[in-house]
Parts: sequence; C-alpha cells; structure tokens
Amino acid sequence: MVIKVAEWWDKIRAWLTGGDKLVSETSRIPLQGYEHDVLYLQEQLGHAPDFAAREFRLGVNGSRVAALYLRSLADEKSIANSIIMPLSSIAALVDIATRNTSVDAVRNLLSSASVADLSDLGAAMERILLGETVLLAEGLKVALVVGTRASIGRTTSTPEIETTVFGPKVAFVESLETNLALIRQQVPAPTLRIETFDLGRRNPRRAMMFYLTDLATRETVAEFRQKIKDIDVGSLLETEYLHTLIGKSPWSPFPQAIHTERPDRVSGNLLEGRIALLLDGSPEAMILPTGFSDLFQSPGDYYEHHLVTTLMRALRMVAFLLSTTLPAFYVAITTFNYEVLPTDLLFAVASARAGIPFPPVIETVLMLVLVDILQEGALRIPAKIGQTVGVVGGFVLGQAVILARLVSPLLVIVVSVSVISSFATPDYRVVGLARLLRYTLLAAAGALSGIGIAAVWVGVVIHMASLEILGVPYLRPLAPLRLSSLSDFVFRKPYRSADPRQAKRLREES
Amino acid sequence: MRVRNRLTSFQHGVLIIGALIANGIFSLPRVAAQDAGRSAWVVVAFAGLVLLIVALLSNRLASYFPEEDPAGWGLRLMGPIVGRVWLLLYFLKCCFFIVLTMRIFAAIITNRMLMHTPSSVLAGIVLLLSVLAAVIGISGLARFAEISFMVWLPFMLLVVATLLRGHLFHLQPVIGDTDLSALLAGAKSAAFSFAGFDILLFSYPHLEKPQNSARAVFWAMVFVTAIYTLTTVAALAFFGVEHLTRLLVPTLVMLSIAETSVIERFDSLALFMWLGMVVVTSGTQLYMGTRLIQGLIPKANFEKTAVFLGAFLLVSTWGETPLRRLITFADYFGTFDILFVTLSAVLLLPLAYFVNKRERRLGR
Repeated sequence: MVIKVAEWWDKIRAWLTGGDKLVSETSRIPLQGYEHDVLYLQEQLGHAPDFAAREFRLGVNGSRVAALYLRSLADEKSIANSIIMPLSSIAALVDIATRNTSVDAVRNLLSSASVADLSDLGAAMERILLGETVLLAEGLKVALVVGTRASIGRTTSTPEIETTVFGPKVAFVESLETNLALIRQQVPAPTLRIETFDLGRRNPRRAMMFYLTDLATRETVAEFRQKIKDIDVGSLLETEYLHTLIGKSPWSPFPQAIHTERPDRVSGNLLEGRIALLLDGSPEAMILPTGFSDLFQSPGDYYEHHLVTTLMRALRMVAFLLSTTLPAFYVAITTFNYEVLPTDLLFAVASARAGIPFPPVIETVLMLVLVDILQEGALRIPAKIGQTVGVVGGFVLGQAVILARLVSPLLVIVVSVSVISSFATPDYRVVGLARLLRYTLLAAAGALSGIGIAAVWVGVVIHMASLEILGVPYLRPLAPLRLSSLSDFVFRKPYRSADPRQAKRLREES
Repeated sequence: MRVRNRLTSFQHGVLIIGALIANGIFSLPRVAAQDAGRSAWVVVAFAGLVLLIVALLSNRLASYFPEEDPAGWGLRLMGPIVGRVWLLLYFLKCCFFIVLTMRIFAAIITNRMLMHTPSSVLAGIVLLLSVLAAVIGISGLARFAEISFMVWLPFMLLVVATLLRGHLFHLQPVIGDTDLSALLAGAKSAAFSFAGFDILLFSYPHLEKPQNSARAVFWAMVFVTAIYTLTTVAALAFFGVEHLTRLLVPTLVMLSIAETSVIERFDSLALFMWLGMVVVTSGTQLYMGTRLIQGLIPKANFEKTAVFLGAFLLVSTWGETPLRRLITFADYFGTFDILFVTLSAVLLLPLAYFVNKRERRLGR
C-alpha cells in the first residue's frame, strides 16, 4: 500500500515538474537514424545560436557525418585537429557505410585521447552541453563522443579569501579539470581515488569525490558516497548547496564542512583521512568530515613554527568568544550584573554612559545594526570607493554618534572589537555564525542578564554536542576528549610527532 | 536527532560527576556543619566513601546486563508486577529530582540576581535546556557534560582556593566536640549531595570498553568526594562553624569574596557557569526518566516521550517557593534518593547474580 502511494506520488510530482519528464524522455531515446538524430538534438537544444552541426562526407560512398557541438563550450581548434582533419584526409581509406568494423575504424582515425560510444540521444545531448562533440554518421548505430571541452574562464590565481604569508599561492578555479590537476599535483599518491557523479536532475553538474584508500575509512567513504547518490535536486550551483543536502542538520547555522579555495588545504585534509568533493563550476572544495575546531585552523598554520601557530589558534578562539559575547556581556554588566566589576572600573563605565538617552540594550542594538549595515554595504561597493566609505562609516559616523551622545564611547570600543574579532577566524562562514550568535546573545542578555547569555551558550553547546558529521562528533577532540587528538587542536605539535597519526585518530573517532 | 551511542570511560566518569554536582554543593557545608560541627568535612568524606561502595555495587549490577539499562532488565529481574512498581518508583524519583534541581537553581538566581524575574521563568529555561540535552541521547549528553565540566572546573578550583584565606583554628579539634550520633546524622545529611550517581546504570550499556567502567566510577566518586570535602574544609576554615550554619548557600558567599583586579565578585559568574552543570544533572535525570517510561511502555518513542515528560514537568515550575523550604525539602528527598539507590543495588545484586547464572546455563 505504502509503495503504491509512493509510486503515485512520484508520478504526480513528475507531472507537476516538467523537468523530470524532459530528462526521463530524452534519456531513453535510442538513436533512430542520422537525419532524425541530428534534427532531434537541434530541436531539443532550441536551435541555439551557438549550436553547430558541421557536416562532411566520408569514404568512397560519401557517407554523411555530422560533428555536433556548442561553439561556446567546445574548443573548435581541437575539433578541427582531432576530428575533421583526420577523418577528411584519410577518409578515402575507410568505407564507413559498408564495412562492419566501421566504428572501430573511425575511432582509430580520431586523434583525440578521449573517445566514447553512446547509443542514447539523451546522454548525447548532456555531453554536448558539457562542451564535448558528438559524431553522428550515416550507417552507424552508435554515436561517438569526443572530448573537446574548451578551457573557459580564468586561469589559476592566488587565493582571495584564504590568504597566507607562506605556502603555495594557488587557488581553485571554476574548471573541474584544472582543479583535478591541482589536486593531482599536490597529492601524487597512487592510493588517491577519484569518483565521479552527475548531480542535479534538470541541470546535471559533474562532481568529483577524492580520498586516499589507505587513510580514509571505508565506512566514511561508503556513507559519503551514499549521501551523494541520495541527492535528488533539480540543480546544484555551488558546493554550499551540498553542504545543506549532505549535512545531518540542515537547520543548523554551524558550518558542517570545510569549504576551501586552496588545493594545499585539500591535500592536507586528504592526508588526514578526510574526503574532498569538487563540483564543476565551483572554485571551492568541500571537505568532510569536519569538526568545530577545524574552523579555527588556517592553512598557514602548517607553514609557521608550531608555537606561533598555537598562539594564533588560541587568539582565534578568544576572538570568536569576544565577537559573539562581548556586546551581550556589556549589556549584562551595565544593566544587571555591575557587581562583578571593581569599583574604579564601574565608575569609569558609569561616567562613560552618563547622558546616553537609551538603555544599554537599545544602544547596543542600534550600534550593531549600524555596523552590520556598513559591513554589508561595503561588500557591494566598488573597490575604488570602498575605502572612502570605510573611512566615512568607521571614523566619521563613529565620532558623530559619540558627539551626539547617542551611544557611549565604551560601546563603540565594544562593538568595534566584537566586529573585528569575528574576522579573526579563517573560515568566512564563521563570520555569519558569529553575527547570528551575537544578536541572539544580545537579546538574551537584555532579557535575563548573564544567566540569559549562559542559557544561550548552554543551548548552543547542546546543539553542537548533537552534531555528528559522517560519524565524527562535531565537538571533537574536546568531546569526546581524546588526549592524542589534542596535538593538533589549539596546541600543534611539531610535524615529526603529529602528522602520521592524524588519520589514525580520525579513524578512531569515527 | 539522536546521535550514535558510544561512550568513552572518561565520558562515563564525567556523566557521573555531572549528575552528582549541581545545587547541592551550594548548601552542603552548612548542612553538614549543622549536625557535625567542626567535623563536617569528615562526615562529607565518610559519606562519599560509603557511597563509593554503593556506586561500585551498582556498577557490578549493571555489568550483569552489559547490553541493557534498568528499563530493559527491570522487569526481567523482578517480574512484571514488582518490576513495574520499581520502575514507577524510580521514574517518580527522577521527576522529583528534576523539579528540585531546576527550582532550587531558579530560586538562587531570583534571590541573588534577578529579583523581579519570576523563578518559574528561570525554572522553565532550565527545563527546556534539560529536554534538549536529554533528547540528543546518552552520547550527546555525555559530550555536553564534558564541555560543561571543563567550563565549571576553574570556578570550583576558585572555591577550593579560598581555603588559603581561611583559619586553621576553625577546623580544630577535628573530632572532639561531636558525638558519634551527630556524626552519623551529619553523614546522612551530607549524603543528599551524592544523589544522582545511578546514571551509571543507564550509561553502562553504551560504553566502548565496559571493563573500564569500575575504574571510571571509582575515580568519579573519589573526585566528587574530594571536591565536596575540600569545599567543606574551605567553608569551615573561612567562616567558622557558628557563622557557617547561618548562611543558606555558603559556597556562593565564598565565591563572592574571591576577587581579582578585573572581576570583583565571582559569585554571579560562577552561577552562569553552573547552569551547564545544573542542566547536565537534570538532563541525565530526564534521560533516565524517559528510559524508565520506555521500560514501562516499550512502544514509547524516546524523543517524543522526553519532550512530553518535559512538558508535563513544566507544570511544576508554576508558583514561588522560598529557597530555604526548597533546600530543606531537597535534604529529605536526597535521603530518599540515596536510600532507594542503595537498597536497589544491595537487594538486586544477588538477584541479578542468580538470574544471570540461570540465563547463562540456559544458553540465553
């Protein structure tokens, strides 16, 4: 009964969403003859202006052959060199229409390294949309697909978000092949495995999953593979989409994967037994499984002295606490819990607030909203005038609100420290999380003073304790506490004593 | 959203510590000193050592059923009628424990910090957080307990550090002016602070290495006994018996005396940090209560039952009760709790031994 209902529901859903129908129909259409197939593909692609059907004749019988491709995606020079020239120049030697081995003969003539057979028009269309060339010929029962994908977009450049002083200066780009090459270059290990998936029903995107067979656990790889296979969406444009689809708690604001633009970070994590996923068109890799502490680790940590790294990691954690809790703490102290301050400090705070017309919570919300609007605006302002806006927003406006006695100078310090601290964490996604927590804690402090702050943090820790990413607890290595894993938490041991065991630790924890 | 159940020995120990230490420590030095005078710390240590033996007996009991908690073996061991009555009593004990924990904490906050906030609001918040903690299952709860423990420990050490500012003559003579009956009465009163270690019966089946359980239980109980004893010594040395017996929550008063150049009083901060431990305590009891309902009604869904139980207990947050009355009630309840757990361990252990032996003989 349940199965029948599920089948009916699938039918209704397929009827309601035209895309499913399109994919299912096209994917089942076999080749029906040269003219029909060429016309069909032309029609399915809506007679696109960049669609090319280059027709020429082969052999003594003059059999017609069409090379079908999209000019915008395919490399026409490659088509000319690897398809048209070889087939035209030696064509007289081959009689495609009459010989039984014609497919093999044509394949042997093509000078491309990537040639495959297809007997399905739906698949042929998908390959054209990926920038490959489909060869259809009279008398052939299969189509040949030749890899002619052009390299579109930018060439590799330096990382823009995850910048480091030392270490490699190369970042991923939007081309999956280029990114694959970057990873291969970083991890020249024979145990590196790459699995390919096509994700998205309406708009399929190729994704590649990377792992090292000798380091990643079989269960983790199998679980991840299954999660990827279970993804059932129309289209995927970014790895961030996958983050919410694969994660156990899609409502959780906590980043449940590392997103990086650096191949060296991917290679470092692969060597720790993790799995990386790259999506075609996305300049970021997604790394799993991950924990909360991983968000505070920068790729640069491994290029500096371990004691310096330890200090920086500790500072980042303090910065995260300051960025989330400092404004709320200010409100709690100035509204309810002033008894915790020494008398001299209390007088200083009271005199700074003298004459301010708003209660601390309103004053803080106003200031935070103002700073967040400035921050959001600065993201979209052209770079050339961005600096001017920063000066106007930061100095002029800050000075003006103090002079107008709308906020206290102490609060300006508190909010500035809080906002700047949020950028101390290497993962940009933590900035958004810190912002969300900051407002929540502020509201709790305004309502229930320090106990409100404590209640929110307790709730946050309970939530984090509930998270597991591919079987690895999110709060590792603190909870469950494993002393052996603490060697790369805040304190980082020197390489010789830390590196080889890292993957083993992850295996134990999962 | 329950997470995989798999506990390390450290988590097992921290769960026991978290289940034991909540509000009891605030009033323990006074309660012990009222009966035992200067010997208060001795009776606390004595109570701890006696309950260590009970905890180890409970651990032995749990080891007979390595894959089940009391919700599973309760009926099997005692039969359908006695077993159900026992499960029901146990469940009611857990409910009272939760209600007292959250109400005492809320009353302390209302008394010392938020005078205009109804304590039912604060108790409701503690209850809500406890439900969240219980719903994620024993493994998630243990992780939360670990973090809470790490945050709470520095404040506890601060309490112990006030010992340096105390006077030795307040502690002397150690056992001189108190008779044996007073010492025993003091030990009985102090025992309430040790209520809650029976969580080990519920966490045992989830252990990675059950063979290490006894060691974890031992160290957890020794740790709690040491903390309680040192706190009592510090309070005695600092205030003296006469002053101490007049203070409702002497541990917090001690924290209000500790100061640094940046923070003048630590009592408010300590209370904020204590919230985590309070939620661990009530969360473990809520987990136990939910499992016991599952023992009574096997088809009950864990998450829904925990939420339903939390909603049911929300009624108990209504109204205001003076802190002194709550603490007095907690003293009586603690005695009942300890008696229930001790009797259960002592009486069920031989029974479990024979049942286990028979089942092994029958090849089950």
